[in-house]
Amino acid sequence: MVGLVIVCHSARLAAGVVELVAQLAPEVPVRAAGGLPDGSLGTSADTVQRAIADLDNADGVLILLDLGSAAMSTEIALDGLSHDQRARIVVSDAPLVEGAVLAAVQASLDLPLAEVAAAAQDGRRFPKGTTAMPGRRTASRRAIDAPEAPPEG
Amino acid sequence: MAEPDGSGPAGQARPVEATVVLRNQAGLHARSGAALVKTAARFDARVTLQLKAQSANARSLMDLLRLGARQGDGIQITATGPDATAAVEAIAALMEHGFGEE
Repeated sequence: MVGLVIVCHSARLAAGVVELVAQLAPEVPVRAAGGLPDGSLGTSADTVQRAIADLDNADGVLILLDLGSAAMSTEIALDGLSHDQRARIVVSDAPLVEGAVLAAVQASLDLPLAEVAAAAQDGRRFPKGTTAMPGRRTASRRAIDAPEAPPEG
Repeated sequence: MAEPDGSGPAGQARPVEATVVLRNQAGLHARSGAALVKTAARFDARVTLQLKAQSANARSLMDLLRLGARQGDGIQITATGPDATAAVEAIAALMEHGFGEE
């Protein structure tokens, strides 16, 4: 089964995504790689590398990122891997929460890494509730005309 | 359990169908969709859900979410393959029980 690594600037954000995914697909191995070793915000290549190593027995690893330097830290983490190790990893640029949820549910069906990665990518079209397409209702709020400030002097 | 009279020869071409009304308040969302995907995957069958003009592969969470199915919507379940009858029964039961939600 394919596993997921969640790379975030915040350890709590990463843990929260893991928690959410675990409810929908508890059988899928997911590892959080959030925050810096001292607990502050940031991403750490070492932390990402450890999370990947922890999924050594998975049939591939899909890495999902929150923002900015998450991509750079992940690149650095991957640089330390052998060609064979690198070949079983895909770094996704899918939206984090949607991508993780879709990927985990499809991974739970034991689909190959390419299909799990494609499912994550679908997260860009993930419907968000029933208000995803707001009607053309024009704002009824009318600006209150502020009385002009009296001229100075 | 599949009904004995519903089981044809393996790989039967004739699709098995059922229409079920969604009962749970949240409709077909991430959690209920995930449960449905896993149920569909237990069977050797190709299962399609249809709501109005839109159809979804029951093994794809994204497909199911894009149906936008809400409480009270009637969803047609269609399956083909050796386990078609059992698959339709299991998915219909899941939906009728509101995915274990309220």
